[in-house]
Amino acid sequence: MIEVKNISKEYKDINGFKNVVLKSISLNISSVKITSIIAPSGSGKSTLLKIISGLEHATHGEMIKNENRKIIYIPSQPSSFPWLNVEENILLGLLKKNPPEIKSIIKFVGLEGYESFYPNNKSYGFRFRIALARSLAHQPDVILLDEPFNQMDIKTKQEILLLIRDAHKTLKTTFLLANTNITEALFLSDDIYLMKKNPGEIISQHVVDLPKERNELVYDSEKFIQLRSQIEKSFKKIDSQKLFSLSV
Amino acid sequence: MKEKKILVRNNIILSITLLFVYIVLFEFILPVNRIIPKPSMLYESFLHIWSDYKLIYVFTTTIPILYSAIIFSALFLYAGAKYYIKLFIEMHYSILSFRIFRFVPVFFVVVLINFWLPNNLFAELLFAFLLAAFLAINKLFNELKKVNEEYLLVARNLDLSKSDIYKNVNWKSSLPTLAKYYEQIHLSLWTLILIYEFIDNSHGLGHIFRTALDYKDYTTLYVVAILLSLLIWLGDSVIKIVNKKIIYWSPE
Repeated sequence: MIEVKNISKEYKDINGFKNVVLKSISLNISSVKITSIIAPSGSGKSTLLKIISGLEHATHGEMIKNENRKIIYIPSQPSSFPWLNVEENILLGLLKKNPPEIKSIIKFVGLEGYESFYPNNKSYGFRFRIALARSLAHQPDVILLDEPFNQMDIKTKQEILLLIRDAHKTLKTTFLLANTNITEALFLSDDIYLMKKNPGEIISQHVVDLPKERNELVYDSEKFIQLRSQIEKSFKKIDSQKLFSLSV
Repeated sequence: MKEKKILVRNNIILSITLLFVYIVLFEFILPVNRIIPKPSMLYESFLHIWSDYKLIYVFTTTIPILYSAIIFSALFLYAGAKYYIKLFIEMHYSILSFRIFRFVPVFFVVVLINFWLPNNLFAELLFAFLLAAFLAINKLFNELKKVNEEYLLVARNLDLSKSDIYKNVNWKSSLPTLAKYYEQIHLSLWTLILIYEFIDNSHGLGHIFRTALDYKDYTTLYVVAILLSLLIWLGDSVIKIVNKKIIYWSPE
């Protein structure tokens, strides 16, 4: 488990004014669970994920985790390197040159037969699969997903949602997802944190007690609709301006 | 691909048409003039230029100097890339101050080198190499500022060493633009080398231009210009082919 305690992030803008991006964020990322943070655009979700992954430093607060925990961050634009083919992208950063599990990971994410393809000019779904395979190859404790579905069409989005659920179930991977979309987060998650912006602050936490096995039918279930409406209500309690760009 | 084929076909048709119009107009209709020479005069000049101006010898000086400078500068850039990138990243602002030299007129540098080291082939090669290397490194520094932030985040997150990030992310990311920029360096270098040799007036294609101008041999000027255009076109095509081999991926 990773515990984020009272994390704040401030920086000075070009005029020297203090800008508080994140204020006293506390959350628990439970092992072998999918946790989502739902927040409007510009609320500091990416900054929070970068702090958790160690790519940025918090101004205040602390993160309690085991020293050896491997946290992999997948940015909103899944960065597969265009000069490396699919296999080279997946192997990047690995100490072993060609570990035996790579083939099964490639097959698992649906890239079998595409190993020698170059990722550029390919769809976001394709590039996300590369990023996910690369992350899985590193055998991480947690994978952080920063708005992964932004530029995907509905069909690809559903395929990727199922793939993440499958990775979570089969490989026992822990995921932390930052998103603006309530439906996507509900479909994926076991826990949901709601965050407002200006400054970014956690306003509530929800446990998603939907069945572990999920498919498209879950969207129409009574429980799903009830949870969605509960989350929407939580957001409506705060200033409507802060809801800007949040989608259902 | 289809558009490219159409463009090539149109270019060939246009060139043949213009050549035909030129031959008819200047060989048979218009009188001899000092603006554009008769095609037959050009042909005769072309036959004589090899012995009168020792064109073969000239080709064996200017061309090797120019292309050696390009190749050496590319090797210099490739071999030292990791260090230039390190230098740029660690000393970002102080290293950029060297770019102040881009305001120094190259023409002045040419005159100065000719003053210090006249009739010196090695000085010309050094000048061409330094110029190409300066332009390429300057371009590399420009490109380093544009490297996709997310590539760097991913690389850092995957625990790649600084040296690996420089080599596998910063360098590779800048490479397509740098390789393309060599086409521009090639054109600039041809102009500046000709100016160098024109001022030096001891060897090379620039020297032929100077001599032809002194003797008011305007047909030679035209013949050399035509040969030069063909050479530049050929060089440009070779650079484009090499670039295609080096940049095997499609850049974003």
